[in-house]
Amino acid sequence: MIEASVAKHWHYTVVIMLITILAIIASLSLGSFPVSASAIFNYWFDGGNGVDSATMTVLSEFRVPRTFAAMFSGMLFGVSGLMLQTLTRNPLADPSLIGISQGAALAVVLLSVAAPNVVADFRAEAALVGALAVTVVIMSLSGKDTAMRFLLIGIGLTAFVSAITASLLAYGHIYAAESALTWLAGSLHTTTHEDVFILGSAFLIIAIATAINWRSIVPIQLGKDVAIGLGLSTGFQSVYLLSCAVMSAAIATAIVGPFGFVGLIAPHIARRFSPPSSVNQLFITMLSGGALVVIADSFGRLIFAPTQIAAGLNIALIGAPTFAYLLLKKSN
Amino acid sequence: MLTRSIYVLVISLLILSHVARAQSEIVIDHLFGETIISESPKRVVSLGYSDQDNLLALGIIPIAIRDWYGNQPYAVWPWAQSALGSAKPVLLNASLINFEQIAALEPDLIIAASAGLTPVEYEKLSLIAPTIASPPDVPPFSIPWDVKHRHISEAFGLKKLAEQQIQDIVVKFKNISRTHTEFQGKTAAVAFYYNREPGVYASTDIRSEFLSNLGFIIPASFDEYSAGSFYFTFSEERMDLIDVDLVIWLATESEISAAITPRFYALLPFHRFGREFFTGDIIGGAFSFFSPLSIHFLLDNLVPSVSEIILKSCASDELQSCYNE
Repeated sequence: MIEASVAKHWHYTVVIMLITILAIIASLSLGSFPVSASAIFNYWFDGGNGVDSATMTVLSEFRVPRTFAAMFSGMLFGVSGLMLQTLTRNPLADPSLIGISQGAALAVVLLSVAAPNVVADFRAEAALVGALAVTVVIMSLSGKDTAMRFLLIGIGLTAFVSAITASLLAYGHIYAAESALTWLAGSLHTTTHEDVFILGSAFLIIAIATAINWRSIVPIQLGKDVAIGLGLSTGFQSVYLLSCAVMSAAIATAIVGPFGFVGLIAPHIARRFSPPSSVNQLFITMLSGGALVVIADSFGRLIFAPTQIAAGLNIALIGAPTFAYLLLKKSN
Repeated sequence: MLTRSIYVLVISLLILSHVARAQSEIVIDHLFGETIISESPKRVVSLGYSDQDNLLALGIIPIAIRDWYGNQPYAVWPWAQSALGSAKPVLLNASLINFEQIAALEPDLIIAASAGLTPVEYEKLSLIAPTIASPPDVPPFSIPWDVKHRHISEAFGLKKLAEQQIQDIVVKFKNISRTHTEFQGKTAAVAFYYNREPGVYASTDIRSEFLSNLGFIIPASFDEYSAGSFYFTFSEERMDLIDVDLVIWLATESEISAAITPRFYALLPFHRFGREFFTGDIIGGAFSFFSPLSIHFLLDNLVPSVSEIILKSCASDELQSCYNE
């Protein structure tokens, strides 16, 4: 009985891995510039022998950074959402609920309006600082224990922050506001190799940090009293996991802009297809989050090519039906 | 004697070839550094919001144009249609730059003078083809029209032609100002509705400068209220701020009638005495582009109508002195 269910879960894992790999290959192969499959093969395995320089440029400067930035940022958002949902014991928790997206947006808009000459260079740093600042405020206001209080204060504060951002956009100098708005819609199409490196490294660190502490997740999910009963230092564990959640979402937001929904959906996909609180669940969350953003990005640039639809919008377009499908399946 | 001639000939040829080689390589300075154009560009992409006007004025047909707004055929407005002729450039999206699409067009040169590029966008574009960004030492979104025209012309070695076109316009302004004495000393305002609030441009905006070059005066209060910006908006209650001899609305008549409270509108002096001109979309666009081609369009289409308005106001007893002594 147990063996059968474990086997079934491994089937799901393999399928999701395949979907993710296919999504990456599709993202690399498809686009406004025609790139053949052999060119991609040569690029990866032959150092680009026999591929003309225009195709090499398109692959190495446009497609590859975009695809892998999407992949890693999706993984980071997914992990963040999973940890938040676990910590708050609320299946609707999402990084944007605790002010990460809004804090980043406020910082970027503020910088665009106050110092439009330097905004291009410091956008990512500003986004990171803004995201962390708002989260720290929410954390300090909500105290150490109640998850519900944390979420409620988060909702209130993010509304406040969003209002300030909207005011800045309305009354700020019009060109500064416009460039900020472009970033708010998501900036996957201008990612560079440096961005991919930062995202990849961040992901590796977060993944390891989360995985080694994963055994404490189950007790936390069962409630604070049970956790204490099992001998866990819940304060430290909670702060540790919360920090991982916040850092991963903040770094991803700083590089690719605010993306909602990924952190919400990826854990639900994982919950449907893996045993609860297992490392397997963490793994599938990462893959689902990554695949979701890669597919959303590809969709956005192919469906009405050459017009591109910003990735943030696509994630909602693809994510909402996926979410609905999951909920319907569950109730059967 | 013969050997001497040959000697001179060889030296001359060497000098000529060196000069020719130096001339065929052009170096352009712009906001993000230097771009070297080593051969005469044939496939040019117009990525700035209004760069196509400058290119078409210089006789260069771009293979792709960024479709800023206005739903114009091939993103070319009426004043530039004849320069475009029967060419059919590809249209590029107004907001997001699609690098792959541009790469697929295989351009020789990308003109992005009025595109407001970020450093990352410039780097990515440079990988595709030599890219010209906005002129150095000028804010990227408010480049003076003559600076922009000279800047773009440099990339094609057509600086002389650009200078000639700029001078033609300067002279035309002077002539019109001299002929239309009824403009001298009249106050004017370029007004608009933005976010459901009326607003007006300060004297430093190109639209205001257009009027002041024709002899109109922009009230000093506009600059006070703008406080360093190039425009300011105000509440409808303060419409008295734009009670001038000529109000140019950057909209259609129906849009403004719908925007201002009707009862109030009926009382406003500039409306009662017909001192308004409504640009509509095309003349409004000519103001937004403000290129050598659109400036001619403005002078040819705006001046007669404005003159009619001023003279009609003079005919009624509203304006005290119509002709400067």
